[in-house]
Amino acid sequence: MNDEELIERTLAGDKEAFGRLAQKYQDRVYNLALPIVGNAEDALDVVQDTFLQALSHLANFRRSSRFYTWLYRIAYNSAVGALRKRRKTSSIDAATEEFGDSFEAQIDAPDAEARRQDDARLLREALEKLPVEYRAPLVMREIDGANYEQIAEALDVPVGTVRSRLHRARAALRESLERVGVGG
Amino acid sequence: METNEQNELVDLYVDGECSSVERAAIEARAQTDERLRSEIAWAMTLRRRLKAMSGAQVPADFSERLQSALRESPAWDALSAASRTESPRVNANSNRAERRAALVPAIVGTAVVVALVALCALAFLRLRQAPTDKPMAEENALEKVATPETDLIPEQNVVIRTPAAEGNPAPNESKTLSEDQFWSTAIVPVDDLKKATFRFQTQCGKLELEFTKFDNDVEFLVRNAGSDDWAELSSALDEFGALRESQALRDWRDSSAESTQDVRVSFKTSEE
Repeated sequence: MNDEELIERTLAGDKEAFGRLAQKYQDRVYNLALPIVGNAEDALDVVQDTFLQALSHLANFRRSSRFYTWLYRIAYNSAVGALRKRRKTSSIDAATEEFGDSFEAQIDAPDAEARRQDDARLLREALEKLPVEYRAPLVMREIDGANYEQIAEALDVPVGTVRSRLHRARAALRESLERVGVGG
Repeated sequence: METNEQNELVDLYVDGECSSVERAAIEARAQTDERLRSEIAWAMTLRRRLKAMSGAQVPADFSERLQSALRESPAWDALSAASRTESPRVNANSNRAERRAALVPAIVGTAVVVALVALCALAFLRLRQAPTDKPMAEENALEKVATPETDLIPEQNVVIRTPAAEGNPAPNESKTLSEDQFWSTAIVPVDDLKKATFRFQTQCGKLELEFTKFDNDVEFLVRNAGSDDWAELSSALDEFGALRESQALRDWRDSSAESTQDVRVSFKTSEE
């Protein structure tokens, strides 16, 4: 059953139909929310909030656009809201404040796997430093494979804005990573 | 190929959004241009690394909790009501009690609207009688964003200054071109105006703002904005409504000039 049919059945009161839609897209929404909010707990909250909101507003969904881009717009707004609510710093930031340079020295691991994990951590941190309006299109493009039009529709901005933000996001990420010695 | 143009094409190429002619041009150029090859390689590496961050799945217990929450959501009541409304049944035997029950929400809704209109009228009359009274709560919200010290008087034109960003010259040292040259207008519905102006002030960050209010319309003078600042703000303004820029402003923005200018932005309200 495709999305259109599942939506029709949901609007007719079929709870299982929407459950199937949620199951179909939950991992995708999770993988989009996680780099934006920066931790699993908040990302799962975003996933739940997204589908509950989608259900509440499903009657307003215009069939002219894809269901997933509409869903992602809800997820994006939910993730931005979650970021605003969050007050505490990440454990890495807190540890760095407490231990300063010595903490950074402790995580300098020699073997390849540890180095890969270290690079991944640095990439996550650099991503989290990006303003959310730059982070979101980058995540949609690079992780979800969305094209410029889909991103523009999901974020409700012109395609030109998507291009500009992607360009700035990549430039900022590169600068951030090169500063900590993570090259291309 | 100019650097800016090249950077743009690299993005389009990497994202598969350029034409076949552009693709051929950039691939030909990359044969001999090491810097270009490096840019493309870096963008591809970044994509691989970001892609490696994906692939996570929601925990199984979360998935079950989500399904349960969706089944129990009160949204189903609204959906059921909507589906009943869309497919009315003609029942010759429906009794008067059922018809009266159907009218109750409409009567209650009308009474609420009338009460709200009466309250608004009362508030408006009180404002007109005592213009030196404390500003309304909504005005206070704008006040706090612009400057906590300003005593904003509603329904009159006032000027609010926010602190200038570090390094920016004092206002009397800035270069200001004629008002007509740097003018941008965003059209927003009346109800969205407060949200739009608040978000715009937030977007401006440390830029210096002068704020003027004319009834439901507001105007900002952004002092000493760089062309990059304006490029960013104009992208954000697109989200608030239809954006109109003067040609001079657009040319200055696209030129990536290093000069700073005062840019006037008006949020005009619309009927929709």
